[in-house]
Amino acid sequence: MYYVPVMLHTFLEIFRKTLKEDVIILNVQVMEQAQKKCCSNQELNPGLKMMTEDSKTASVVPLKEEKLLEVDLGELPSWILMRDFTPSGIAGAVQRGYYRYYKYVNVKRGSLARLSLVLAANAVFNYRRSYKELKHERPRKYH
Amino acid sequence: MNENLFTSFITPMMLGLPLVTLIILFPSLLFPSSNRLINNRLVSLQQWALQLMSKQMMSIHNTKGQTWTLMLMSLILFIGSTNLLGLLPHSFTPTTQLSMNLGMAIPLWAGAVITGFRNKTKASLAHFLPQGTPTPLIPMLVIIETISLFIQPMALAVRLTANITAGHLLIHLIGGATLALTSISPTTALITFIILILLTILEFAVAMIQAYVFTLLVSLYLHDNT
Repeated sequence: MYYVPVMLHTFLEIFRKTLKEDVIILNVQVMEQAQKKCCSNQELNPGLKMMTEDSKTASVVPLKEEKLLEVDLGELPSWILMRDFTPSGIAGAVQRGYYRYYKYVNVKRGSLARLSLVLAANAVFNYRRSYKELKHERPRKYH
Repeated sequence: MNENLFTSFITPMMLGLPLVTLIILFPSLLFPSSNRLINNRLVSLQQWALQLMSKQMMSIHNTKGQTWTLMLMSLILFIGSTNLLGLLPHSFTPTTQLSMNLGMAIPLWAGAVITGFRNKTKASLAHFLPQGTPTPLIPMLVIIETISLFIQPMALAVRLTANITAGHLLIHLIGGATLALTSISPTTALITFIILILLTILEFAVAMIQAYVFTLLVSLYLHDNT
């Protein structure tokens, strides 16, 4: 069950602003602080992006480092192509996605209910996956 | 009915994408890794189980054999968890596929045998002839022992595949029979249902035992060769 949002977030993370170094940060809090730091443009590139109310100043953030929600629609294809699709880039993205959801996996007081919810979600997922073959087993007079 | 019975064993694809990779990777989400000294319940339980298994299985090996601990422990965790998850309704069990079991068995067996041949050549070759055989029987026995050596990876893989597949098929069949019998004669259906419950308990045991047996045999092959 966890891997559906993890997969989604991995894809989003591939398109997010990359961290400066893709090291393994095992402490989730440090990880989140690093993400928070990275999120705010102004701290990272203080001189570059000027978020003033004056609409006449153009944004001067380089296209490669813009976040997904701030990319213009016209430059979306070129932005997608500029992302880092190397194996190490994808590995870094998977790592960031996984550790963003790690705090739901590694809880302080786990219980049987939590685990059985995961297993039930697994069963539902597999039912949805094999629905095509299961359709024929419905109790009907004429199939 | 034939097609219905075996459709649960086909490789799951979705829109042409291999969904089977996700299904194989799923059990790893149930084993979180943690660096702390004192962990939460899930991780503590798993660490206790792992310690129990590794002490029981790796104590017979010498130092060189104990370098395989990580490999064997992850093997038993993987096979055990995939087998147990396959008992959920509609799940796909990767260990029913002979290709995957061969992929697990052949490299491990070959690694153990080749380590033995490289490091202790004389002792490895000596395994081909049990002690105390009468002299006229020696050529035939060497041939037989060679065949039994080369059959080991096949036996490992086929044992696991056949046990899990047979168990799943039996559950499908008896479950279908129970359903069909409820409209005809509820008493027989009740008996069949009790059989189904017993079978499910057996399957839980088989799932874990097969993992254990696989790993135990690999460790035995290792013990011979280190």
